[in-house]
Amino acid sequence: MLEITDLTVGYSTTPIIERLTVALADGRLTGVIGANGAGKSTLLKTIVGLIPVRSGRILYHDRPIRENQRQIGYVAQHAAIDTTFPITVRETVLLGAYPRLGWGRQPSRQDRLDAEDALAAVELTDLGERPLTALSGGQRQRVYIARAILQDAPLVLLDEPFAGIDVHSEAVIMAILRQWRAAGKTVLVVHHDLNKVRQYFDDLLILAPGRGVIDHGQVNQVFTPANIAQAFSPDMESLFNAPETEVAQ
Amino acid sequence: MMASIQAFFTGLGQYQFLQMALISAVLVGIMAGVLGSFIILKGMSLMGDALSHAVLPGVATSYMLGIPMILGAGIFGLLAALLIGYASRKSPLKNDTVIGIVFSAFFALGYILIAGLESTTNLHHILFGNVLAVSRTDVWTTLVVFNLVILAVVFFFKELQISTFDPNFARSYGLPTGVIHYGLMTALTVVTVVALQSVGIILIVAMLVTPAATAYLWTHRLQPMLWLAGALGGLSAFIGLFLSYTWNWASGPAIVLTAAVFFVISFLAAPKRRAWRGEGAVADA
Repeated sequence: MLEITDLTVGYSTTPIIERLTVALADGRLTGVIGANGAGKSTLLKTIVGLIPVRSGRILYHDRPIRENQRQIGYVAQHAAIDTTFPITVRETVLLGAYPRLGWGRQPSRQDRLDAEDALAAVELTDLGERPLTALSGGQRQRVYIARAILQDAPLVLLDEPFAGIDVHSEAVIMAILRQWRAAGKTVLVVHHDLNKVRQYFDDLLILAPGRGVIDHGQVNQVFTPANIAQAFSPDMESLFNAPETEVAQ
Repeated sequence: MMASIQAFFTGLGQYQFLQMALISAVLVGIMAGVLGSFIILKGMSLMGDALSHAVLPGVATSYMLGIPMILGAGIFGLLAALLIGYASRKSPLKNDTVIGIVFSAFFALGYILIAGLESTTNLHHILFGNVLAVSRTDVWTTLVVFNLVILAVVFFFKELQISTFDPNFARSYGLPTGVIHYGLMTALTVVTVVALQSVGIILIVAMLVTPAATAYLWTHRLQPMLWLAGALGGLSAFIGLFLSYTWNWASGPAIVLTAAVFFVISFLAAPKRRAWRGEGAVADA
């Protein structure tokens, strides 16, 4: 269980997140949706520890999350990673073993075997020796997912993992997320495509700029026209109600 | 040409000053290439330039107080890195602006201090190097620094790699990237100090950046890049010293120009450049 209580993040005059309280259960796939500026990425970065907490607390399994950073797996927006760095696909996946290795320790033979399994899980075995820079956006995102597989953290946070990637990559990644759910991991995904929300997630956390949590709960209960209208704009409600019409952000 | 090469090697056999110069310059070339690889990959070439200039007041202070130069220069180099880091975090100014302010102020202070000491030291040699005045103690100091830097890079390879490539991932699992950053800045400062005599303050940035950038054009993996950058740095120092000895050029510019020639050749011939032009690009499957 990830418990966030009374979390405030940002500057005192303009907090990005204000007094946010939410609890996320293990073994659930939770999507985070909301308009630009609602604090979705900020929430993830704060849980990870990249942005300082101004007030409030974050507990994971009843302990302050900062006590054990290694329990966090984080897949940033893929545009945020420097793809010009001289590194191969295989080496990038192997980075997932680093969190459990001490200073100066190198990955073991078993880590390398596990990296191969992770590469296979995202269907990139054949591209292992390619430079990361030579891959498409979707392939690179699968590489970062493979790194998270090797890391094997119980809490995994993904920031827009499906942004700008092809349908096949999306399906491969979604299959991995479902495996993580089956393994009992807590998985939190910032997501922008409202069409896939029902299909992809068990639970939904809906945020709105300046208003914090609009709703949180099972997708079927909280993914409602009223909530979407609150989170995005009143126009969204009519779109949402139109039969067979896809909801666009 | 052959006669010049022969004269250089004869000189090497005869003159201890030349042996000292060569050992020192090659060691500096190798470690600047290795360390410089991380500097260019972090997009911190300007920071390398800044730190090398910022050690000047430390050099002057060391002369005044009679303390080892590595100590005085090290303190000022690290002070500049901390000031740059602090001012970047605490102001809306961009990092390169802060770097420009801090390093020019430090350099100006150093210039004034050194000018006041002109009777005991030669500003020109500090700025552009005087590899032919390398003492036995200098060589030992360089050797110790060389071993420490190379050992640190080998031992902390994993930490340097991940904090350079994906610092957010590194921080997400609790790696203290700030400590690694300042460790790298300290190493940079120390290398600058031991490189003073080979290439001088003004041109050390070229030894940090040029061999590393040349190596980057040839490989898609970090380890080979480090090996190649070190080799190119060492080779540039060797050839540059030969040119310096043969034609009586200042050693720093001779070494830096040699490194630049390697870069130009690589720029025209290396596979990565062809890939960018679209000739060897991997299909975006």
